[in-house]
Amino acid sequence: MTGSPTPQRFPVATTGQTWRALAALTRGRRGRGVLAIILLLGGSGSALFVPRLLGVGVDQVATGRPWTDLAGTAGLLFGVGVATAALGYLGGTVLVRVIQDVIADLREDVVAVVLDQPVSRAEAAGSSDVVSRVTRDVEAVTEAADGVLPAVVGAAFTILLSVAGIAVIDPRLALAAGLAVPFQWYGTRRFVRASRAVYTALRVAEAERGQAIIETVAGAETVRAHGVERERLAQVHERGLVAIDLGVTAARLRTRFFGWLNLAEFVGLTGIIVVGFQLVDHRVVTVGAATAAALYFHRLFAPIGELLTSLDDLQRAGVGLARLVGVAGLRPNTPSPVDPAGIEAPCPPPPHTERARTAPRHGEAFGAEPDGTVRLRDVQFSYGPGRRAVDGVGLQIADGELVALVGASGSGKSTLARLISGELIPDGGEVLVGGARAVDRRRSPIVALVTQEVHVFEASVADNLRLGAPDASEAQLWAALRAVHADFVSDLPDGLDTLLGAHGLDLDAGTAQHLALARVVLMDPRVVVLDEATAEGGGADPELLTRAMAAATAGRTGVVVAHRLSQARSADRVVVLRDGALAETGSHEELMAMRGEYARLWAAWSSARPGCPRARHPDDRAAGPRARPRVPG
Amino acid sequence: MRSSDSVAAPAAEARAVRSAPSAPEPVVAPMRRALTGSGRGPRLALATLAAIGHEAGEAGVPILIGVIVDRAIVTGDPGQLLLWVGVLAVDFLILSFTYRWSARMMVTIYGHAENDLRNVTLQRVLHPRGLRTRRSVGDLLSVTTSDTYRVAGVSWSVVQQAATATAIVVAALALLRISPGLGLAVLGGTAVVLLAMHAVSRPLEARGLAEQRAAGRASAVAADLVAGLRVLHGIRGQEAAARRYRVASADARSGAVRAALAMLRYTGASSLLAAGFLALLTLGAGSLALRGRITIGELVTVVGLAQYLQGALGHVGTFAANWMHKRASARRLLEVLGDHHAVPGPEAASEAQDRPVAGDEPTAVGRAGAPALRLDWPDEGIDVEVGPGELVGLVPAGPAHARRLADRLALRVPGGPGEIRVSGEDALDLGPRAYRGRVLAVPHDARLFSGTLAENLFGAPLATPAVIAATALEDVLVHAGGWDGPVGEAGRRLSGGQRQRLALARSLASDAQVIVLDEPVSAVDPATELRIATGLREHPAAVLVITGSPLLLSGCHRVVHANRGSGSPEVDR
Repeated sequence: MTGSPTPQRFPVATTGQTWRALAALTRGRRGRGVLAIILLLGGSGSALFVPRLLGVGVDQVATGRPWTDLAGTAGLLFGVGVATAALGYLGGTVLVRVIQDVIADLREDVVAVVLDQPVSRAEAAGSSDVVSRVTRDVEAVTEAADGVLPAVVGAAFTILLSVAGIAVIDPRLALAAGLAVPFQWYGTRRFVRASRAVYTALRVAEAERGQAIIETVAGAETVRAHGVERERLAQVHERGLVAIDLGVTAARLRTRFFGWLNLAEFVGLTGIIVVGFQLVDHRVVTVGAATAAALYFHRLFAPIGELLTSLDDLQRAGVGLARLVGVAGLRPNTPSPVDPAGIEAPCPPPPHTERARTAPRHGEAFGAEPDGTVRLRDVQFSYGPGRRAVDGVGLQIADGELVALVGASGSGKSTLARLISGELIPDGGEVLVGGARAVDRRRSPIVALVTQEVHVFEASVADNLRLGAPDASEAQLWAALRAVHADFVSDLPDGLDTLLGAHGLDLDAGTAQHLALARVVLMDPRVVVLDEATAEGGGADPELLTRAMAAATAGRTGVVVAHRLSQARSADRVVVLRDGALAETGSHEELMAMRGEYARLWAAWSSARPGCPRARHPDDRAAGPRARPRVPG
Repeated sequence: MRSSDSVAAPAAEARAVRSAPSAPEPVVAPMRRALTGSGRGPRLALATLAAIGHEAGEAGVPILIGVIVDRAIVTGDPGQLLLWVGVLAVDFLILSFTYRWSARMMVTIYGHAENDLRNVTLQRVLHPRGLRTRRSVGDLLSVTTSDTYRVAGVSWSVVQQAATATAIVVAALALLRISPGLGLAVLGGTAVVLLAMHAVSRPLEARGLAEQRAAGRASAVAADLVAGLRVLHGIRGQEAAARRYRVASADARSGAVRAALAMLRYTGASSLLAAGFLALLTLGAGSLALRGRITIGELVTVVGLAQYLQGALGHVGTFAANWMHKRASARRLLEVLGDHHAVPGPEAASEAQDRPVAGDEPTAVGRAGAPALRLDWPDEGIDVEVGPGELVGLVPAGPAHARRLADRLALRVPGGPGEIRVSGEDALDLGPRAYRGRVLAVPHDARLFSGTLAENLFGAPLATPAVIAATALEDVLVHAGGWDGPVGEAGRRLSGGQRQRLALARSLASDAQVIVLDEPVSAVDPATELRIATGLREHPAAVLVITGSPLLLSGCHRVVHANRGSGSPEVDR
């Protein structure tokens, strides 16, 4: 293994790409979109009659018209209100569906793409980058689409049409109102420029604070055991203070921005009042008309504030959108970092197959059924510049053979397991399973890999199992569970429907491994690669787990990274790795006879096994205080 | 004789054994703490005053527009125009600066209130004596983050509602001054509109929450699937997983649409009400103006104020539900803060803060010649002593049994007198804090924290070559890029075995007299495990390792079997 790799984040789309992607997503929904906009424009437009009608009312009073005229105006006011409400409601219902459909499509694309990325690619991007795209970015965009976008659209319509409304009364009044614009423009520009960095820093600080809290709560027992409560609390507290400071800075920028908006409101309102004063004085417009203009403008305070303060939300959503589109752009069929020439298979699969199997979900090298032969030819792999993790390994595993990989940490056995499963692509040499190269195998159900990551999905037992075999019947699920000795499920109150995970039944690592093995049995691959990391006592009955693993590998080619030596003992062949290369290979008996590394390990292991003769440790020191044998009872 | 099951029994039994009560210390109500804790009270009062000033200024704008129409535009008097535009300028200055002060003060008050609540909750979670009620990490997290956030928001509610009240009062005074009848009508009408809006908003709240939950579920499904990416790829479950997300996403979509439709209905209904209100008001005020009872400018003011009131009262319908959520959060917070302790002990509530740093602990306490650790557990058939430099293996009946033994040894569950002695002193007399200063009993799933390798040693001097060798840490150092290399969130950049070895190195690097380990190398390969077994044997502290692993046991000086009452003599090795 090499030094820490620099994270290769997933791409972020450019503005152009983002717009194109949005255009593509709205395709087929534009008719409804246009309808929504027309309805909403109608709603905002009809609302504009309100100040005008109020002005008319003022004039009717000023000129002493009969009461019935005033009643007519009031009736019109109500009618306009009804139209505004109705059009706004109808337009909203259409718009909401369009927006939510687009967003749902986008987030589903993104998650599907992320899930289909090669694990090494997703890991290179860093789990936080990946998770934040499918959670935080999706939420930011959804929220903006849900609340901010309709509000901004409504505010923008109101502003545009109000200015038009004022201009209809008298263009000079509109010009006076326009005095506000330079102040709004300047204040907004200043705010957007200065706030971007602060809000970004604030979100980072909040994320760091959140991470400190999560780790502290999840690791509370560790914290208590080591007595570092004070340090952890101090860390959370300090990160909280950093977030508060940034929040205060952001508030300072925001309130200053609002100060500019207030100034703009004052300037615009005063402009209308002064111009209105002149125009009324010269009898160009009536008092009612000037009043209407002032009321128009006063009505605009709220939508302008809403529009300009939403800029930040929209900006954030825009960033999130670019990150989502960037991921969605990695189409599901992006080739892995190796040329797709691997389609041709150098080793033709043998014609015979014994078991009837369902057609593979993804195209395999040949139409014929591949067998479970595994061939490694001079395989080279390194995680980055530096030492090779696997260096020139050649190995042939026959169909149905069970091979155990033994070696110390960093000897390359897990890397070799990942190469065989197709999760990693060799830098040099060739790894062929049933004749197919890794590039073709990544989605092929010919190989299953059970890794050290023990992850129980937050779903029912049945849904956890069906991930590898979506069409499995309940009977098949039970059969698989029985095969791997996962009898605990039948004791659960809800059986297969029992919810697992953080909000349900929290399985220990060993029990989770039984589930993982049941998934393999259900998936029924030709080759099983087991790199599970549960040694004795890690949470499962080792005896039971060994039997479960035997069941999962029965009738298949098996490659097992041995974490327990009993696994090596029961394998057909043991391969000992050292520094990424083969050190010893042969059956248990052969390796014992070689008296090499394997034999040494075995001796130490068997010496301490219950029921085996115990040897005194060679360098046992003078004994410390001894305990008295206790008399039972 | 106590059965082994009783180790997990609630503290009631412990109270019978020990006189030290495990009742909770009195707790300040979370809401009060958020509002007035750390001298926030006066500042909150100032911020509220400023918010009231702001709202009064906002209400002043339509009033002043009316005055300007009356005194300047209708009369055509430029002097009056100048005067009242000047007053308008002052009004804008007031409303702008009071907002600035109020908002800035509020951000600080709210931020510190949230920080405070979070710290108090975390202190309780980390309290040496533990929480009696077992809660999942997810529950505790939601209390420490969401509930504190919501309760801290009470200061915003106070200010917002004070501002709303101001809007109503100022508008009412202005209207009553113009025409008492009209004023009463406007206020009565406003009250009717508010009540109606509140009634309409109630189902809205429920829908909003349902939508949030659906959206949250979709997010959780996505995060869960990504967290299990390796597992998914291992069984080629990418497509099935994507389908599963699509279902959750469709739920979130229909939830969002339903909530938005409810919101639209609410908005529609309230704007209908508002339109009717405005029409009636125009008719009423216009009639009064026609009869010369009020001036044209006053008519403008009335209409302007009605318009302003609708905006200012926009959120009033949600106030009640808002308080309900905050009260529910405060209750959950109080349940954690006021929970009983899991184990008895002499410590006070502020324990977590007052804990002395490592090294302050007296090291040479206890009876001279007493063993570093002595266990006397008749129910397990165990009576064993561990001396300095000794490595003793304790073989459990199974994994669950191992966890129970580890819980007892870490004082995470109440125990009986004389069961555990450290240098001759009863663990119960020492109490969890002092006990843990001498006995480092790390849980099986010892956690790493984001930061560097060095930071994960918790301030212990960098591990000595002996510790590195004992834990076979070389490849971890290479992988992370040295002691200053990052381990990632919860150590995720390391493999399971690497994480375990770093956690082990952290334990060995500590200065505890006694180290208790629970299956510390369950994810480590046999070759490395054998090396670690030898390394542990050489370690100078007294080490008790709970393990069923033959390789690890092969390194032990002595091995005892915990057979749950069947009493088996220990085996010398």
